[in-house]
Amino acid sequence: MNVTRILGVAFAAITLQWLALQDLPLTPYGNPYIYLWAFLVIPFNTLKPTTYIIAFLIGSVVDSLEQSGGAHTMASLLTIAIKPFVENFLYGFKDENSNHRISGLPLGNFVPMAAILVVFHHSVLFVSENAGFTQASELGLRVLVSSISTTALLILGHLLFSKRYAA
Amino acid sequence: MQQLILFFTRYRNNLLLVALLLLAFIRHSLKSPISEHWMNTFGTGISASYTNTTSGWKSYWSLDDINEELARENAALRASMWQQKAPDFFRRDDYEFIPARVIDYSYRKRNNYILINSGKRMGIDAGMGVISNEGWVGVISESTSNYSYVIPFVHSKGDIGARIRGKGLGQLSWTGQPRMGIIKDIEREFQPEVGDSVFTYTRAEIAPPVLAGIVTSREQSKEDLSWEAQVALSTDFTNLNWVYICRFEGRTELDALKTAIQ
Repeated sequence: MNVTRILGVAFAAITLQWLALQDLPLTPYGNPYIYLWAFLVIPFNTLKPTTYIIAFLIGSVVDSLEQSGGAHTMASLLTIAIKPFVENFLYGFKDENSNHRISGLPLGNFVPMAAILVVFHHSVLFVSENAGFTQASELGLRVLVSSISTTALLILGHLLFSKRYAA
Repeated sequence: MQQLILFFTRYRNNLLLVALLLLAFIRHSLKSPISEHWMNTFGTGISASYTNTTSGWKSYWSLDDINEELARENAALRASMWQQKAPDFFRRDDYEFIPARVIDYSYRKRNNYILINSGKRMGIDAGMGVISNEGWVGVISESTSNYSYVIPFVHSKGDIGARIRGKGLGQLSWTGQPRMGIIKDIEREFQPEVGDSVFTYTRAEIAPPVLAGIVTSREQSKEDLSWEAQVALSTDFTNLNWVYICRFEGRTELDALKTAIQ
């Protein structure tokens, strides 16, 4: 999957979020962030600088739309930076040897990988937005509820769009 | 020199990551009403135009809420004809209230925002107060020709001065919980009572005192005996459709006076 196609997926995910998810009262504690789907379609063998620039672009666009300073950019960059380590830790993927991607994994492998990345991303995002750990209980609740809703949407997307499951 | 080049070559990926993170961090840490003005104007313009377009169909689905709000506003206006509900320490005549439709807002974050579809063309400028028919909303932080960006009370920088009718002044802050605020530093002789109305108390150029909330509980500091009180906010920030921007009629005159003094 080339960079243009990844950015296309990101654009579609951001549009979907902005058009349909942004104003849904799914939870009073935080929106699901479906744009993380773009990170899951990045093949394991993509060069790191490319992934960093993709994450920076996606995060910056979301920050501009959400008026959130650089919170989404920082969260996206750090998430994409730890992604290879999580992949290697969980399933032993070597980033230079595999053309597969998380979105192509079976559901059993997809869920823990996606959940770890989502929780990490949301933790960085909400701590940045909160400018620290004040009101920690509410911060924790936001991370938890928002992570659950994002992961649920990603699983739904995986079941609907992954070649493994699509009819 | 060669070692430096080798260092950059070897760690180029990490250096790129650090550089991009630094850019994001600078943008984030500079996030203030002033930096917003030049850092995020582009994003504000794009998002305002976009949401203004898409809010058309969203408005269709919230017609019931809008109707209800109009009905409530109508009722409030009728009531004000018979009863002066405003507190006794301000005159409404000094202000023009410019209505604006909320085209986008957030309320779930620590730093929330509101975008409205009125801007400089309507005489709106940074520093003007924003109210709804329920009470205090926030302050305009930047405006383009047709849109404005509001820092609402439900923002880490949304604190305002407040006053309990007939009692002391204090600082009203958002607690982070939906519809809850806390007013601090009330002098010990002005004991707040549950049910007391809390009004904003800002500079005249920003807004007249308007209802901010109702005291729900109070507590006295053991150190300096000052009071602090929990306040149920009057404005429902989860459901905003129309707001009013307070334009102080004497603003030009006041600015001229300040310039003359300087």
